[in-house]
Amino acid sequence: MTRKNLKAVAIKQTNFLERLVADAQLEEPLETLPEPVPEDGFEVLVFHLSSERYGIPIGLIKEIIRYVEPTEVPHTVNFLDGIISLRGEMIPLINGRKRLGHELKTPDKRSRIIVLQDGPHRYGILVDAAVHVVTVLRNKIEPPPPVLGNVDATFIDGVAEHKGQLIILLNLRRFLEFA
Amino acid sequence: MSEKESSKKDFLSEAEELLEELTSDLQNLEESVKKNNVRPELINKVFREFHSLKGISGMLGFQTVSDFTHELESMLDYVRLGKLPLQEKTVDLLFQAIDMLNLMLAEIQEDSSGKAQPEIITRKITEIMTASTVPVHTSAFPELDLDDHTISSLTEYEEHRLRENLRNQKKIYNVRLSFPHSTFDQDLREVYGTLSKIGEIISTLPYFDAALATDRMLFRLIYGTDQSLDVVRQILGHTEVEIHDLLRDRHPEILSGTRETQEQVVPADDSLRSISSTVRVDIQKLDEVINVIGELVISKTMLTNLSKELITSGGSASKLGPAFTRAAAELEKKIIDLQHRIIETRLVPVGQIYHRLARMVRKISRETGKQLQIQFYGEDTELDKIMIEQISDPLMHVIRNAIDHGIESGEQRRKLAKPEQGLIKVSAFQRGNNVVIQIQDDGRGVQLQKVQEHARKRGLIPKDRVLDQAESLEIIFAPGFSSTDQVTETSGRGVGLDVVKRNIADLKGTIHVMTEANRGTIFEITLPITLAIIQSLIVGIQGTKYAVPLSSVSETVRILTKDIQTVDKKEVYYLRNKTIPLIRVDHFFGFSNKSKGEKLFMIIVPMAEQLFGLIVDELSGQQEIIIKSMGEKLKNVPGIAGAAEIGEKKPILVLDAESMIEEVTHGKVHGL
Amino acid sequence: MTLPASKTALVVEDSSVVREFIISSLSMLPNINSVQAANGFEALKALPQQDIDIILTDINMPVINGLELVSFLKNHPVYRSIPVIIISTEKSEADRTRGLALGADEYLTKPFHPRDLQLMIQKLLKLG
Repeated sequence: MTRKNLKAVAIKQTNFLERLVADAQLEEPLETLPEPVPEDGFEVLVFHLSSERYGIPIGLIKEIIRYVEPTEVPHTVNFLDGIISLRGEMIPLINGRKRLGHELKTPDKRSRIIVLQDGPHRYGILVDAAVHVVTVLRNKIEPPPPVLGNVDATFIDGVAEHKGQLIILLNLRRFLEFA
Repeated sequence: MSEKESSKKDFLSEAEELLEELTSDLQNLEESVKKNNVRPELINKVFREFHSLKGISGMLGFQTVSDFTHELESMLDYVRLGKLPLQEKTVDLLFQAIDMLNLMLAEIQEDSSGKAQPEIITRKITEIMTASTVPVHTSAFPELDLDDHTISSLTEYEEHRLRENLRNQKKIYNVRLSFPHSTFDQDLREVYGTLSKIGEIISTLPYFDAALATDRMLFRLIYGTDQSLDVVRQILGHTEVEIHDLLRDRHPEILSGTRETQEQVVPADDSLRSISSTVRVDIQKLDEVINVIGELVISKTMLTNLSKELITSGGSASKLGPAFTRAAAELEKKIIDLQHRIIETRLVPVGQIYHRLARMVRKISRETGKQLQIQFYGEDTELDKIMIEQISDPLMHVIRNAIDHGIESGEQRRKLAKPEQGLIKVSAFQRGNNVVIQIQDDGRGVQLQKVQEHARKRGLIPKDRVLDQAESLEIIFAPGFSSTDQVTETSGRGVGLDVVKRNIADLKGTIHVMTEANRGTIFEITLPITLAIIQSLIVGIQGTKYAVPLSSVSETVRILTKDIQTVDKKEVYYLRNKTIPLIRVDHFFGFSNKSKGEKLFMIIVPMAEQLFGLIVDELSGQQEIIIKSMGEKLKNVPGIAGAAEIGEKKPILVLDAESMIEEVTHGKVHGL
Repeated sequence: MTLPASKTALVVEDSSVVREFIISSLSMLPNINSVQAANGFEALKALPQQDIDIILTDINMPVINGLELVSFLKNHPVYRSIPVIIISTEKSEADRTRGLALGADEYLTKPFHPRDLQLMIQKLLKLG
């Protein structure tokens, strides 16, 4: 990639993140898990969990914040680290690693919380790092391979290839299921 | 709900509102007729209300109501146009008409018919109207210098008002106003307010003048008043206005001699008031304001902490410390005041749902043939608006239940020398941070024997189990318990006290029952006044802080671990001759380490006439907190009411003492 | 393929339920948006805020009534071309006549069938 292109990507990332932060001021919630726009591609936020790269459509993302320590809540599912206060609103924090069956890791400087909006509900997902936004082409999405580490296949919608690397597209419905 | 049912529901609710407003207006009208001082705005208001009622009933196909209201509207039209004098008997007839309308609405709601006979009233209306002999006037106003434009846009009503003003020797002015486009609504409203105090605005015509700037809105008012032109101009102050007298050939004699005393203050037209003095606010916006205020509280806490540090740090700046602390304390007072005011905007009087309840009781009375009387107390007690809407169904179910199972039939009551009319008393009052709603009946009381038999029949308790009074009163709330073989329906939903209890629990409230054989039963529903500001105890359990709403707590006691006794494998504490069952909160939440300290704190929570003790490690003090919900998915975590910010690193959890106690104690009744 | 431009109707009526009824009748027509006002005064505020293609107004309303509104509209160089339908009650014959004399294009008597309103609007807006 030439220097110029790198810069363009960096600008695009910053703009997206700024936009996400700005979007958080929006009063109207985004729509419930909408279908991706029927064109040939859609934008996906790529983040790290353990050594894997995962992606979720950016339309559902309200904002991305740095790690804050959650308050534990007893009698809840094990992959819920607790709740955090986002400008006064209490939202549940899902531990991404735990949810997908990875080893636990102490959060560090790069850790991020991705705040999702699903209709009237908000959730936070703790991830190792939020990388960038890429456009995924629909015709480049493959069904998940039968063995993908120890991740439960029901969590995966498919995999996409982007510049030589594999992005695992998460099935958010399943991911956010609390039982 | 089908569209038809939905529009019926809308119609009934709007019609009800109109009828309530009408009842109140007719009462005012009656007073003013007696004093011989009827305001035209009031007549106009009543007319418009009938007009609206006719409109909506006609639109939605309720022809009988529409036709009947049409007659009432015609009669009122005659009155407001001066064709029919308003007398006491006319107002009386209107009251009768309202009663008839209420009856007709009730029939619509139940899809029944036959009782309402509007013809009786329409006949009287026709009599009154044909008997009126006031002559009809012609339209021209030769004595006024009005342009055709104005004359042609006056409605019949406005003409009548103009004539009245002339007849009462008022001066008639043409007031031309010019306002900037961007603010014309406020400006016009202000002028209205000012002018209405000393005269009557008969007509308002917006107009366009090509010669003047196009970024202004122009209005021409026809105004009737006793005041002189100079006074009016003066009162309007800096408003851009042009006034001129419309009366040609004024005769000076009219001014002197029979001069009336100052016109009494004519209140602003109700219609204008309805535009300006209330605002509809989205409840969500209020919630957001409350959130911001919550953050203000946190900032204030930081300030207080900083000021303490300033004092202890020594140095010259520490002299500022006390002043800092005082400033922070002032700020705190103001923030709390603001919080309370915002929360108050969400509060609405309980009386709002009393009408619905009364109607329902009347309907059930007809259905069951039982004679009933319902009394209301505390209609001014206020509750959060959302709660009012959600509490009305549970209240109806409880009342329904009281009537079905509590109140005996007329014959039985006579035998027992009770008054034939069964009495239902609904009272609402404040108790600490809660609002309590009691529904009391003077019926037979909860029949404990029957309850137990029924519970056995339903398989809720083993055949040989005997329940004491408290247990019997709790089991009526169990799912699957239903005392009659037919399911009685209220507002189309299934009934059952378990549903009621759940609905009330959703509102973070509780319900319990007190009863006395043959004397009656009281259902008591306790609700938090608002889910927002709650005084709480801050407690510590194994190093983590939690909040316990003070409204749940009657006392806190420091106890020694060695004084805890065990009875029947359960821990209890003896306090002033009472045995208090204990609940260890750490155990409840499944924390692995048990509290090891010698000294513990016991938080006494009264529930259903019993005392329970929650055990915690520490007591850090008291604080006002705002309980926040943790979201849909975490709504029903047992023992947790929500979370709150207390100005520390992380939010803390707020305990739900009552649900904790229920979880622990009801294991045995339901055999869980 | 170009879609026909959507039209906006201004509904001026003080009863909210009647207003709703009119608006839902309008919503059955394709490409019609509606804006509401509770009386003539509110209508005046709404006019400059968007392009209004047709106005439906009641007559008896507080502050500024339907006749005054029609008078204003029909004497205004910009608004005079907007078709106006007066929605009146059978009783107010005199008021209705005045409305027409002031320049209203049509009138509808309450209660009316939504179909009648729709046909009238289609005619006045010259929709297919």
